[in-house]
Amino acid sequence: MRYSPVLQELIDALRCLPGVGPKSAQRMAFQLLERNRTGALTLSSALSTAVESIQHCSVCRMFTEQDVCEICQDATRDDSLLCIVEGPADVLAVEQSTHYQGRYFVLMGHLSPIDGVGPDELGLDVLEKRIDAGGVQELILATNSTVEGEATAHFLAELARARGVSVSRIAHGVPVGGELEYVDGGTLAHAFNGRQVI
Amino acid sequence: MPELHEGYVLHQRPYRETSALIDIFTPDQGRVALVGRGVRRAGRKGASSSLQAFQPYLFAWSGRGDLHTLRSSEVAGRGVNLQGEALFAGLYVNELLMRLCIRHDPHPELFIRYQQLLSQLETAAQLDVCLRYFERDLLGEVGYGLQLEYEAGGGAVIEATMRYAYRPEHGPVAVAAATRESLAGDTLLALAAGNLVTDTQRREARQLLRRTIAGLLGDKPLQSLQTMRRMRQMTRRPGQETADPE
Repeated sequence: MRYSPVLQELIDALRCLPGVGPKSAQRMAFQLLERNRTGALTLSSALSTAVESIQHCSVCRMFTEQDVCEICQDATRDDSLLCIVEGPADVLAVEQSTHYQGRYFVLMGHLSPIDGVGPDELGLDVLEKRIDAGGVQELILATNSTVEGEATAHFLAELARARGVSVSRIAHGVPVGGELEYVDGGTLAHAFNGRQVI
Repeated sequence: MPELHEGYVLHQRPYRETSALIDIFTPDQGRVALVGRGVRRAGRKGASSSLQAFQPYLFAWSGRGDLHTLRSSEVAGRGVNLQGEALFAGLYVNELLMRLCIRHDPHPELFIRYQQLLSQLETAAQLDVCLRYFERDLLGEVGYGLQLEYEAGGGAVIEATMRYAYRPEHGPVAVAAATRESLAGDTLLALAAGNLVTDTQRREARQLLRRTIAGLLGDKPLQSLQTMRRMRQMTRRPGQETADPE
């Protein structure tokens, strides 16, 4: 038996979500149609508004429906600090758990020479112009602690040093509450190399 | 229990929601392509960090054909901590292995050379020269070794003071006048002996190897070289000559 074309279209459309296969898409479609039609309407209008209005902030490339996002507009923040992260979720993570009061720049990825992802693909020319415009005194590199994240951090550090801006890299090591015995070797090695005088 | 194989991750790319396609390099199986199911899932048990390049692992996989399923991976020994230029050099070498090694073609000696190279890169002294010797050995292992001590055809011994044009798949041929593509016999011998010292030798050896590798790769050049070239353009400080790590 085949579903009516409209129903089938809805099921197919739901499958564009990550982790949703045919069966889950079908369950979602039935749930929305049978039990929660208002929810479905809210969802559809929220989706179309978001897709139409949300774009990248022209300053930091974070998602926003304005031309410049709230963090970039906030006059109380410190313009001399610029934190570089790989994705929008990282901005939220830093915001929620630190007292950081500077600005951000979102790369939307990381350098990956093997895949041909270079500076141009990451919009680093925008960042370059921002540094050249002056005002930034410290670049805080908060890219992931992966090979690509390290490569990106190194490149950004070179970029900033060539322009006389000081650069720092967030620390990596033993997680808070972690026990040395269970920490993997690479992390422990990093923690040792990055030890600090107290 | 599937067999355990020592190996390094050369490259991985996301596949579906939480999986990854992983290319690894092992001594007894050469380059192997694996599907790591769920390896990118956050908070996976026992995986506070995902698989990283330049770190030795013991891998177990199952399945037949060209693409296997990763069953387990376990850190085997200390990985090298590559920084800066050395990190990009390492990524370049990984791409070279990806492009030049055929899957399931065992290269135990090349594997040892790879390990040696990684520890050389970690100390970061004379990156370019280390890369040249590795490229030379890699070409030899995959069946395109350079002929560095004898002339093509006749087999006359290379003279340090003569100039040669390197004919791909044939070897060096003596030339009377120096051209842009020709190189000194001295460079050929130094590359063979692992004794590249002068700037000229290093430059000529790089050109020779770069041309040979480019010839093998056809119309799909190495992505990492192009990316790195662009990066150097952006970070070049006025009046400063950056070292060429490739």
